[in-house]
Amino acid sequence: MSRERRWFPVCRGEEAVPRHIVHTALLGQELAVWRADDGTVNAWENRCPHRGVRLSVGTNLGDRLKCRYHGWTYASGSGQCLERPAHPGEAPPRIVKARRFGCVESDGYVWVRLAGEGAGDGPAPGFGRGTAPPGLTLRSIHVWAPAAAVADALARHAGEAPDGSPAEAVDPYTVRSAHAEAGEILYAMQPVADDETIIHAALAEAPPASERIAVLRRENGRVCALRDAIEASGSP
Amino acid sequence: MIRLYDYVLSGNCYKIRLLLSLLGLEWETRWIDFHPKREHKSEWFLGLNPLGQVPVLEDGDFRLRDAQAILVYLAAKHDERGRWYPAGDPRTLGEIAQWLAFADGITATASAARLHDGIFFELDADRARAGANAPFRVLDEHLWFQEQEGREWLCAPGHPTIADLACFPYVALSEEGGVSRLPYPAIRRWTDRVKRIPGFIPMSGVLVA
Repeated sequence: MSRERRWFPVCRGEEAVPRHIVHTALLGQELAVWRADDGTVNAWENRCPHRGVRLSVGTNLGDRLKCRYHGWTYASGSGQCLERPAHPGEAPPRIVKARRFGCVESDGYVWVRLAGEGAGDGPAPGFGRGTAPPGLTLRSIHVWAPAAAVADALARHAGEAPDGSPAEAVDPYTVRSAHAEAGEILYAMQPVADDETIIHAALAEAPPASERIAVLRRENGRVCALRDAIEASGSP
Repeated sequence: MIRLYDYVLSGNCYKIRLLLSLLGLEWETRWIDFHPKREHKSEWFLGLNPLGQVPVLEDGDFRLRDAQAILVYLAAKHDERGRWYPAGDPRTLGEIAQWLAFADGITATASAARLHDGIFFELDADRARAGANAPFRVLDEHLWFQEQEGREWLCAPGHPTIADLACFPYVALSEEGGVSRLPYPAIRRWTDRVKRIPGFIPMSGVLVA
């Protein structure tokens, strides 16, 4: 299975806020991820097709993204260039488009894959729990380490299940653990680059509303401690 | 008349220009040739500030050095609505003081790397870059949890304070020192919010939202 054809989470859906451009990367490919005012989420190569400037420093105009450099705009959805301010009254060539990647929202995250069409390789975008979305998405944690090392560390340390069973590595990028306090926790790796990973994590069951912030802080602390251990040793 | 001893590429000077602009104040600028002339280390400037640092502010016969101190003074004296430095609110004042000190940690790391890359300061830039990750992680985590509690700014009130202005410039300029903000999505959302404060002005290297 090609990693390029697999769906990976790149951010929590609610962090693709209106009129903002998320700057992230997948397998070394920089991405500009942005939500149009109609709710559509776009994941584009972070590069203006005109002069190569990062689109993530541009402006999200609600239905189009405007490049910082020469003001060329690209439509949500199609990526089609709509305007070139230096050529007023002249329609941009149809061939000029932002480079788009497959992008869907599922289970509270934006999932992207770099190549392929249709169902593609690997699991469907999401945590693989069928129709039951996770109860609470946690803060995503950036780690300066390869995805394989992070997933391995999670599988070995994130378990602490009541029966002592270790966490389960569902596949090279997904870990599921049954935690004494938090219950089932799902971890999905975003391989940002060779030595850079973002851990996206969610609790299967939502805690009571009154405990939400405390649970978010507790789980954030747990993953940050693991991050620090991974970074300190290279392989905890 | 307020006079600001200012260097155009300094984030610490910029944060003073930003507050002056947000407060709608008028001021007079005395430009300091920080690079390449090192005018901030000249005898005449050391007479104004023995630390040899910009910015320095004069308001009539009152003179003050240190960017964070100047933010405190200007907001306390000239913000009639008392929002940028809420003098009657001990908790917020405590939080602000915490982030003003924190801003110096950003200056010591992200800004130092930028001085190395931009104007050839002799220092360990890789160490400075790595050092910036520590405060940036603290800042990103804080801002993420602020958002979870429905807050958009560094401190608790529902509006920005000088804490946001103190931390903003060298965060927004970090990529000039080779410190990517890709790992810090909550910081990126916050810098967008700062750029949308009515009256916001940019500087070279800080793009408007």
